[in-house]
Amino acid sequence: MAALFVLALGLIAWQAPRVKPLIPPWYGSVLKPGEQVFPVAVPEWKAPEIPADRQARFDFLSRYAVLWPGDLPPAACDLFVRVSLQHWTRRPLQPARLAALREGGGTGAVSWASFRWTGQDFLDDDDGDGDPLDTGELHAGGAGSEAEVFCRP
Amino acid sequence: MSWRARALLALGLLALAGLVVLAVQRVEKLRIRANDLELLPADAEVIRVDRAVHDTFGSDERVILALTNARREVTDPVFLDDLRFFDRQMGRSHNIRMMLFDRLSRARFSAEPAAGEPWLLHPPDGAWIAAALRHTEVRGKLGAGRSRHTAFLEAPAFSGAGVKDIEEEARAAFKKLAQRRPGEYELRVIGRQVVLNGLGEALFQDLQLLLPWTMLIIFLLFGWVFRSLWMAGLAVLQSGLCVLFTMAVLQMLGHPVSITTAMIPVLLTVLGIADDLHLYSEYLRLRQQSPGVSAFPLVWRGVRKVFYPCTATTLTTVIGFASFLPTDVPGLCVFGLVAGIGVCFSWLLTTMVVPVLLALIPLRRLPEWTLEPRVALPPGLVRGAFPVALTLLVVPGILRLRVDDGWTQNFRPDHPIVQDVHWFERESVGVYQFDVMLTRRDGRAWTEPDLLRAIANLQSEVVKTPGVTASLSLADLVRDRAWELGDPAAERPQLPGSRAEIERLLRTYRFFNEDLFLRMFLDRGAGSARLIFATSRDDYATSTAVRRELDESLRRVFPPGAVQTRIGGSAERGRVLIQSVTSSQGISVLASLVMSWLTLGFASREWRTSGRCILAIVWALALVLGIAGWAGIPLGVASSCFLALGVGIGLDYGIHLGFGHRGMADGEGEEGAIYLRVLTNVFIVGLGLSVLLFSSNPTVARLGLLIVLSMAASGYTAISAFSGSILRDRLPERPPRLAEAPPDLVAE
Repeated sequence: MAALFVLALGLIAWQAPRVKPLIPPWYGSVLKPGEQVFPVAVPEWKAPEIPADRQARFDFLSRYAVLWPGDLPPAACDLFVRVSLQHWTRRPLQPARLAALREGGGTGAVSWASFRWTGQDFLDDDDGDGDPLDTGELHAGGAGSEAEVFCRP
Repeated sequence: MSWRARALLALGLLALAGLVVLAVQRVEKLRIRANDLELLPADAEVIRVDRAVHDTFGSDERVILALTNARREVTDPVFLDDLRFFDRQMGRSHNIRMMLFDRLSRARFSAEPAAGEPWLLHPPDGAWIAAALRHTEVRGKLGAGRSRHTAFLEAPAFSGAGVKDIEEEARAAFKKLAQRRPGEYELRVIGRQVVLNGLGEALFQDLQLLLPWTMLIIFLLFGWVFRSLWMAGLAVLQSGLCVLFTMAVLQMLGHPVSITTAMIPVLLTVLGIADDLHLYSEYLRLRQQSPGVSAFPLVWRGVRKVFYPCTATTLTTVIGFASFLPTDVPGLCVFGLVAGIGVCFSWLLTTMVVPVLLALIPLRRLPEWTLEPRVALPPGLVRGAFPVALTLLVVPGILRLRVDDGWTQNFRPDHPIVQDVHWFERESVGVYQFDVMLTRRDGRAWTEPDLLRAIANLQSEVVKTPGVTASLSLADLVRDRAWELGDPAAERPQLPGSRAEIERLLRTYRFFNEDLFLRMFLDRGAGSARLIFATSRDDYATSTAVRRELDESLRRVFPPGAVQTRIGGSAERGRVLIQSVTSSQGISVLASLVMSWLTLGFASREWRTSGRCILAIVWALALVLGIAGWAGIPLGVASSCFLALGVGIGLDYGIHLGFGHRGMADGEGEEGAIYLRVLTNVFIVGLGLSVLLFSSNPTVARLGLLIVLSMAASGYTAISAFSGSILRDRLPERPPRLAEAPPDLVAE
């Protein structure tokens, strides 16, 4: 009996380190960088202070912008459309495409420009290509959402 | 005692003290954690599905902050203003600010420009929110309660500690809201993790209450039985050391105190004294017989006498606990392992430490029963028609047994957590849900109109099932967004007829910084979609009924082939774990019975006696299962553990009765002493474990009741199976008192 008991002790000692502690699964996200900015879901925190300096402003908007849906290739310009009090959406733009989007057409190269994009234009898809931003929808002024274009030289 | 013996004794006690200090340091580091995953088999299908859901759609474990105002509706401007105030207070914590969802008052799209707000999303007013609650599913179900007097905020529940932090922040924020609007609001913090945290706290409180009571009961019983407070103190010391060392090993192995391991201290406290009881009794009997012999030789003679049965009972108890190891349920494996280690510690203490200290205890007067250590029971009670009639009456109750359990059943019905969970089940979607993951095998996308309609059909079919309180799917996201972008006065639109329109609507989730919500229901390639069905309760019966209906609906809507369907979620986990734990018990009980029989038979070469021990315990468990069936006591995660524990502990009585005479030279008259010890053991162990009946956890209390019943039943069946001189008509003559010491004892 004593021998069996010693055998049982040995088996327990052998088994003890093999029973591993359970590690619960950690938080997992399936979102890629640029698909979500934080805070999520546009709560009503106070409005951010947007820097005036061009580069600082670009960096700031980049941090607070979700990427425009769809696989758009990098381009010389970036358009930021303000979606809410505290977040923007960013899409790359070729200068030629920017010229087409501007109301009344483009006039030469720009390093920075400010536009307005209306809610109605956001809803429609004039050319049916699945992209809500259509030709001539970036207005120089008036009502609508703030839109800013930054172009690299 | 020679100086050498004294020095050895002092050294041994010093070593013991050192071990105690080390063990205390370890125990101080012990964590408490309740987690449902520990009760699921590692290879369970539901774990694989949950992992797939987690990898495909991300984590969505949430903690709900419910803010209720009995007087105002959530669309009242004052309520909305207060809700935003509460949001901002919560948002003072950076981490919470980043992840806090307010689905109710989150900004809405407006095609019309808003003065001074050159952007697309704006704070909604009460009228728009009222319309949204009527016409949208997500905001209507998750943003506000059915009574419309409660607003819900959500934060992700990363971990138990994280949820605790969120709860503290919420209470602090609520305090500020209460100062602003005294007495108007009520805050509830709800979530699966909140329940588990509460369970962890309850386990700890239980332990703090039950353990001292168990010790006190043992102290009093030992003091009464042996008429010596020193001996009672020694029994408590032995149990305390056993628990301390075992919990230290638990910490050293990296395990927390969990749902399963929380009951180990109470179990070991009681089990630890079982061997002491036999040793003490034998020692006192020998002292009564040999008054002129010094204590040490008598104690060691006592140890030798009880060594065989005590080692056998320890071994079978270890086998009983170790039989949990092959179950593949992590929580049960840890329980079996650590409880087994504890029983071994107890044996080591009883055979090595207790005898030394026992010999040092001064005994002025021996208890009366040591003069004639035997007990008389009416023969009719354990022989003949009575046991047969009892069995025939009780055992058929097994057919009435049912399996039932649920997380909230681990609390008393009036516990605030239970109240909050049931309130949330009535007011919103409930805490427990089924996740249905649908993956297309044909390469088509769920954004195709006919496929999305199939999802909506499945949803509308399953939601009619009794027990299902709510459902959410990709179809809801599409229709909600279509309404939100359109005219607030319009009805909720039907599903769009074109894939382009569906995808246009879904793209707005990215624009509006809500990709997190979309990805919970649709993967990036649109090949996998998820549906969520909330259940009204977390009990086994509800989950099983909903699961059955879910399977049938899935077969009807998605015939096998194009779609792979998988089911996971907290409700499914609860259902599977209850099923797996109760069925694991069957396997472990069978394994421990076979192992115990083989061990006893092999060690003793008395296969028939070993078989009688096993039959006695099987009979006892059948009786207890029958009683449980007649009494309507359901078997659940905790309560079904009594089976394996019953084998481990209850088998001891048969072993003592069957093998207790081995190694005895005195022969005649000792059988009565063994019977007396067994009955005392049943009484003390049963009474000690009855403390579990006072647990604040109803399932542990049920387990306590079943264990106590199984102790009584196994004592009864063991006596019945080995009925000999205990019976009144077969009592031998009173044994003559030995005037002289046996020749192997040396007087000091």
